[in-house]
Amino acid sequence: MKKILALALALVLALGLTACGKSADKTGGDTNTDSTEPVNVVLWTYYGDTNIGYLQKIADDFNASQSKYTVSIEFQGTQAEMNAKIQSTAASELPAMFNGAVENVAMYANADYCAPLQSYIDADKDGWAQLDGTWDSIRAAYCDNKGNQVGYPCGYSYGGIFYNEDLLTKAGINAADIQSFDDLYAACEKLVGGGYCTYGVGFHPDGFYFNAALGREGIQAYDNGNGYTGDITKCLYVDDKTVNNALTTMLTDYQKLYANNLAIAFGSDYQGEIIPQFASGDCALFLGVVSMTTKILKSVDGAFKVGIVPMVSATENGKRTGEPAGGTGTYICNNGNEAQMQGAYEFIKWMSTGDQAAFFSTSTGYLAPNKEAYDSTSYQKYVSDTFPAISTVYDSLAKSDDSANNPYIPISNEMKAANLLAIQTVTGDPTANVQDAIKTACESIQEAIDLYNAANK
Amino acid sequence: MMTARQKKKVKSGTSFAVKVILGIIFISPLIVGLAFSVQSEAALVTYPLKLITENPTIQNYLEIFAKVPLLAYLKNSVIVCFFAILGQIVFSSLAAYAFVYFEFPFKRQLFSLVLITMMIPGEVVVITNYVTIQNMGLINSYLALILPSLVSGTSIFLMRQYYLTLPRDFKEAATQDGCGDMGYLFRIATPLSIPTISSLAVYLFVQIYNQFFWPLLVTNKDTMRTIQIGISFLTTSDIISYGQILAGAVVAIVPSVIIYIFGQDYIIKGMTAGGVKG
Repeated sequence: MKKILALALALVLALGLTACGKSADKTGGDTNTDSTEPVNVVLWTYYGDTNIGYLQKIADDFNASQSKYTVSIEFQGTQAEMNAKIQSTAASELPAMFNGAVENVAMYANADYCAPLQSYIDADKDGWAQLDGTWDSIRAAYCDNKGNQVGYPCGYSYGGIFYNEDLLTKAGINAADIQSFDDLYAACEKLVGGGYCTYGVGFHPDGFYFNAALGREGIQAYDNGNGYTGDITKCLYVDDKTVNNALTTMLTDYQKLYANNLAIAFGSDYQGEIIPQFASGDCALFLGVVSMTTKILKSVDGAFKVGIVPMVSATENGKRTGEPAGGTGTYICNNGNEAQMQGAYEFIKWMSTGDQAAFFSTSTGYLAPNKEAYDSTSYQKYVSDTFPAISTVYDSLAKSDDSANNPYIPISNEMKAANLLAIQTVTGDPTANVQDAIKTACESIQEAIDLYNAANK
Repeated sequence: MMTARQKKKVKSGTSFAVKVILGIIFISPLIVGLAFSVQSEAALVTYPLKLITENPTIQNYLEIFAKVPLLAYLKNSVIVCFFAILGQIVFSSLAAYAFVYFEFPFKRQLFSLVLITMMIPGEVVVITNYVTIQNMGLINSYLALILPSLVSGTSIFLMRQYYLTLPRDFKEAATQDGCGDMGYLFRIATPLSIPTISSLAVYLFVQIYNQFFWPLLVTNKDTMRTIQIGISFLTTSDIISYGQILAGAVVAIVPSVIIYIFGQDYIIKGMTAGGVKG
């Protein structure tokens, strides 16, 4: 009896596992050649929950607008998890397109799994009017160092300081005057010293803002023109006097803000801790990105007027025409299926059209990536009714040029982590040596650059 | 002046109070999660936060079920856990039996290899396993989710250690009565090892049920995804809805809690079984 039981158990396991298996279901390997059937075009994204719903609506509209392609969207975890998956997936299993951060453009441009958008643009006989109407700085941010378009923004984010206009008015501060870290420190000192609020500012803890502050005033912290005239081989944090002075000023201001209790503890969760304190009036300023607008406006719920000024620069110097972009772009994935990849290009174009891009921007809080989207009825309604202050960002964008972007660097994740550590070091310890923090960040980034260059000769 | 009886009562009461406090501290993440999951998003962005809301709502639960096919994900998680645990128990019992009762060349070296697999973090092999599963054409299948969890060094080691505690007299007596190896394994050793197998099963359930990166790698379609991916789906870029994530976490934790409630006796028995010499 027991033998039979043992055999039955083994059989159940074997049959169960066999039943669990199935033939390969290739994500990107749709080799459909029947011209009557639409080509399945898959987009891998790290947008979850609400944003994927907005993307899905755009995909549904696209699918309904033509019969050649069917776009479907698949969630693939966080950006880091998705990147790991893309990098280790066989070409035939890859999707036709994927979302990725703008800071990773250099990494994507050098990767086999990414097919540059430029080749599709060059072959496009119909042209792409929305690309021509894209803000210069954001268009440049999605190009490689030879000016070729690598991807196109899906959610165009932008660093800036949200402010409580009522509190700033009471304290006699003009938000437009907050242009550098020194200005930020002075405003916080006035706000807290005058008893208008408990904290002057809360920071979204991310290394992105470190580079954004440098890029804002046009400082190039890496050799070869920040990677735009050649491959980056050296981090200039220590050796270049201008760069070092800018970093010293910025990190010293960070340190003073925390030494004098003018800011919410660095590293606080911005959604669970900083935005609630901003909404309650305990904190007057919040350094974040525009994609947080919807959350902020909902939290404030009309209790006071919310404004936004562009990202502060590291120092008072520079021409302040740099607009380092943040956010997410869409890229074509090189899965070897030309029909799918062409479908991906058509979808990316579709997403950039006025109504679609405006829909995504007004729903999420991201910026309209091009003039057609900005001028659309729905976006203009958003500007006038929902967040009038956003016009200051577009004023700044209109003055921007493409001379000061994020560094064109394939190790942006390592760079951001090192920069964040430098900020954490000085904000966590009022006695920390700022030069030591800069040197540590520089060494860490240099090591990553050297490793990358050695592996990609 | 307290009598000895009163002293004993005070001591017992104090001990009980300390245990209750410790219990509350240990379970506090669950209490906080449950309390916040029934608060509206507006309540969760107020400052300071309140643990107990005056207006509890099940809106977060309704929304997550509307957004994410959590029940389908739960079903997938349960299927994966069932087959993976069954596989581990069967294979580890057989392997452990061989290591304890059979003599064969390179036995020690082979067991060392088993031990070495325990020392390699899962993250190290996850990509190579993914490439293998891809090459086998198993992406988006239960088999892809189950295969890497079918055998583990830890299970083999645990079962071997238990079989080592079984008196050799049992085996000799069974052999004299005409019982073969399979008979001994299934008629004598396995029934005796039920507490160990049960504790192994509970341990494996928690481990496999909580897997996130592996199921994310080997599945793309909603129909094949597991519950932990469903929870991560509730976050989106810069904005996170904490109420919904906590509601999802509460739903996800229900099977683990049920398994633990029914399996806690076995866990304790399993932990103590090898400690008493028979």
